[in-house]
Amino acid sequence: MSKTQYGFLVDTEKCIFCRACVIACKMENHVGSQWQRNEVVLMGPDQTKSPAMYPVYMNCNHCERPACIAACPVEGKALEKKSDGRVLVIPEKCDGDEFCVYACPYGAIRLTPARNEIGFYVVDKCTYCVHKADRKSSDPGGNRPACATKCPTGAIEFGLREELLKKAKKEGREEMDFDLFNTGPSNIYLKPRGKTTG
Amino acid sequence: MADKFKPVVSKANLWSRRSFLRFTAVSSAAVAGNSLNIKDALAMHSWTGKTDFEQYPYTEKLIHRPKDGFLPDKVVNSGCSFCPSNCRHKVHIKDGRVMNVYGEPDDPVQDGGLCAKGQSIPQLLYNKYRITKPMKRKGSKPSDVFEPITWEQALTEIAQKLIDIRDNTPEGAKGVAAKASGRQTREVGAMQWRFFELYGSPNTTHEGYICNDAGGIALGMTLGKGGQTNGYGYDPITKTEDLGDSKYILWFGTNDAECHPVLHSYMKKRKNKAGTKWVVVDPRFTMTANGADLWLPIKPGTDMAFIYGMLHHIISNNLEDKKFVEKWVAGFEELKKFINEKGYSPEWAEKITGISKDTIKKIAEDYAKTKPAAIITNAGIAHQVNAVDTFRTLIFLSAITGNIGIHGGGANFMHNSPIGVSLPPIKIPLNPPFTKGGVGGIIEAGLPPQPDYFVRAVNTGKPYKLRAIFYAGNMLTQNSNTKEVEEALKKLDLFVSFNLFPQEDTYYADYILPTTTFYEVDHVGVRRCDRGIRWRNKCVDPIGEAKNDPDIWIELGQMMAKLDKKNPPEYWTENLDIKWKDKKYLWNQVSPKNNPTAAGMTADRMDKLSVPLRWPCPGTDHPGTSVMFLDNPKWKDIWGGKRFPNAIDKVEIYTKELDDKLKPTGHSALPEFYTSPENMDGHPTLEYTDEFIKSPTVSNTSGGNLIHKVKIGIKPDEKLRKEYPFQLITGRNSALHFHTITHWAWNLTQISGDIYAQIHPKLAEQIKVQTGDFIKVETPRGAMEMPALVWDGIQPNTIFIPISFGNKQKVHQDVERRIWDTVNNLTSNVYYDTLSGQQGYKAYLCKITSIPGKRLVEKKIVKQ
Repeated sequence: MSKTQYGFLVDTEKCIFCRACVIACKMENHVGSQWQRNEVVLMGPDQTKSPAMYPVYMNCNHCERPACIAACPVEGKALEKKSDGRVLVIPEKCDGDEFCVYACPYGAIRLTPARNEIGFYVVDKCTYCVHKADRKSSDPGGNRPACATKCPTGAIEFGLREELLKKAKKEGREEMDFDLFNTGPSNIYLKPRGKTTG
Repeated sequence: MADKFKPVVSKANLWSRRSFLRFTAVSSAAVAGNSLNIKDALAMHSWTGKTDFEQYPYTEKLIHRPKDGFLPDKVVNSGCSFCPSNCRHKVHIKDGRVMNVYGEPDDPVQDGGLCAKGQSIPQLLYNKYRITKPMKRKGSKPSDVFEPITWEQALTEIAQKLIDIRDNTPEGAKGVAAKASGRQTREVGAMQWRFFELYGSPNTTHEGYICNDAGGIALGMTLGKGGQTNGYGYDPITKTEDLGDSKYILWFGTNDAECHPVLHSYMKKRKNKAGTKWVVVDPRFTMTANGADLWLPIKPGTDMAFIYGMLHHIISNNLEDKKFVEKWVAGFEELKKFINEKGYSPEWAEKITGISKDTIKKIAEDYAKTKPAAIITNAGIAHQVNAVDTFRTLIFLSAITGNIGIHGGGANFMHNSPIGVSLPPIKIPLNPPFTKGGVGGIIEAGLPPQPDYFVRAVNTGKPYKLRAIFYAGNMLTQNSNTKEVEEALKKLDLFVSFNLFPQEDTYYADYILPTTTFYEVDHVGVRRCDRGIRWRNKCVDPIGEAKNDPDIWIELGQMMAKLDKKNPPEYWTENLDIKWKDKKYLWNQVSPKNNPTAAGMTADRMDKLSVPLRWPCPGTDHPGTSVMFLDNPKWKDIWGGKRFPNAIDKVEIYTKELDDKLKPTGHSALPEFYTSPENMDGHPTLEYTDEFIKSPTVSNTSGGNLIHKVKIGIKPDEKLRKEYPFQLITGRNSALHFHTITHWAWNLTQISGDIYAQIHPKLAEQIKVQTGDFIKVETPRGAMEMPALVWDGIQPNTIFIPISFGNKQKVHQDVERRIWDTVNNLTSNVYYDTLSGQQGYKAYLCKITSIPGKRLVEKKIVKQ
């Protein structure tokens, strides 16, 4: 994976399922009431045995080999992979065919009721808050994506993927392999260490 | 078109192809089509006409693009008044509009964090349903038709009505009652209190009896001062992180993670760092329990038995802190004798609580041997009929192990941290018919202090009839037994609702007065659990003609000055000064000048600090108090050299004086075990007699409050127990919502799930339901139908239904969500803790039946 690839480090053990990240994204990016760019889903290893909840933060993985771009039928593609690893929608080109919506194995893209200048409905997805990329950390709201900035628990951290991996390793945590679809997702999910019991 | 934009497929399904299982079928994506009557929605819509709502469109607008990113013109430091995390909000303003909110990065506890609801305040501020003009009802109750009127007209008519009630009804002034909201707590409660004192009614109350006042009362009785004993974040006096440096924490009856997400995040970060051991005692496996080392599924309402079991083990094994007990505890021997006589052993507690004696012993040992060890509790204890008594046993536990007055320890009962603020003294003495001997002396005692009792006073006329209610909040969701609330609302001569939105109870209102959100006024809002307050600056002017609650009371006072013939105008204008509309002026009049324990808490000092300033703070050079009851001059000097500011300067477990004080109420200084009259195991309970006596512990005005005398140790009704065999508990639905208000923010409503009843798999098997099947939950008060959520994160034989909203949720319709209904359709307004006036919202008997064929979602939970 490219050295400049950004990503999130997600620690489900820290998360308390408050979903500040979802609202942070909606407030920052004016996401409408019909769709979300990110989501937290509660999962459990075996809910019939031990009560345990793993809230998993999910957003666009900004994959190394994005399935959405491969699937896009628009000439010249309505999605692009930037040099910093971001996968961005180009709304001007999008014709709302939803191929990317179905191609994405992570359900990260949604069709919206918003239209572009041509009059097509457009798809929408996480941009890692690209409009904040050129800002300074001292600017109001800082320069990291809104979800990671407002997360009270520190369960989501934003940064260069390689550095985040190094950090996780230093803390003795393992990365979970979830790349079933061979798209090279950039999010890092840490393996839960399990609970110690009383 | 609308169909196309429903979520296509839940991400969770895609993920479950991996090793994960879909956790809950009742997730945000599960929306059942349910047609609802929107007739009144349309009628209500015309109330407000066009409002400034375009900035936050629901639909059909061009989405934000990266190139549209903008920086704000200015950033105002305001704050959130939802939960007592007391977050500072960095409010981003562009072109005079609130655009976004960020957290305070310089506060080490908040650490830039915010929760979901705090960020959604702009959607309450600019909301198309917001009431922006005073409204007067047309037609009979409940009515859809209201006409906008001027403030002048509204206040004149209300003031005239108040004078009529005072002068021409047998009840007189005391026939009028009011409840303040926690929205802008500090000055509002006080201003309303002042108005009522002037008017002559003792029936002014606040949200504390719905929230958690019992903890403060228990602390006050036992330690001499109410307020959470310990704090969060760096404390310059002890040079520690206080609760953050605790080694062992017992969480009793609190879902801290979902109720105070930001504070809980701090605790969780500290837990990871310091390796704190967490034990959660809760009938339900909450997010808090998820982060803990041990979860103990206790039977609802039996916490006192669990604590007595622990106390028994500690005392009989001499694990108490002998030095502390000898010097600072009064009544330890009596407690020891009492526990032994009653036989409150771990073996006894096992039978009651459903937790094994070995576990109780282990917890008792761990708690007693680890220092510092803290207890943190909240509404799980407070919303019980034995609230104060249970809280007191927790203080006993904390005190005899020497955990009071040390950093990282304490008996931390959240949500009840008074900062001793009142208003500047009365200038013109109160009018004789209602007073004795000058200042602040209403002779007549008020009703039981909880707002739930208003309803019973209206319906039964006991001890006297109420004719008018002023209510900030929503009576039809906050108050128990909504059927009776409706009945009462129809009977009232005057019902004035202070509200932002057309909530359920406003349909019964004679007048609706539009109030403001936290961003539209300078104020000191809700305090952090550890008594910390912040100064919050006004971000934008009030929307439309809305006014903040204290200003409404001041203006009503000015109107009374014009119309009241029995008092000189100065009586109103001087005692409710119009200058107090300037909140900074008012605050500085009150706090530094008239409240010595808060003398250092000036508005400017608090505004400059990025962390909350913690009461007590007697001077500008005092850093504020994190640990109460310290053996340190910084604390003792505030209370004239006393460590415990009561008569005996000790932890008052038992004294004859205290026992004599409590005896007339039916309680005693050493409480024997009892629980709700609706408990499923036939434990001893209490009975409310018809006799009213003056409360020795609660007085909202100088007139005091009446309470029912109780008999403790009564056997519960066997017949009821046979008919309704299960236990119903209630609680917060999720971190997304806060009481009656947040469902008006579409962001939150969109991503929140459905209302559900959580049941244990064993129980589900018994009645043959699976997750998503509709069940009917019945109590003697009513019945509700809702989908079941089946999993073992709950005490068997217990059913959990989240508190929620009434059935007039317009935003739910807009974002195509199923309408919820309030669990208070099932609760009773009879049970309350008489020592605190705390309403018992938890622990009821119920029965459940399945409704064959009715399902929320088609999919079953299958193991993949």
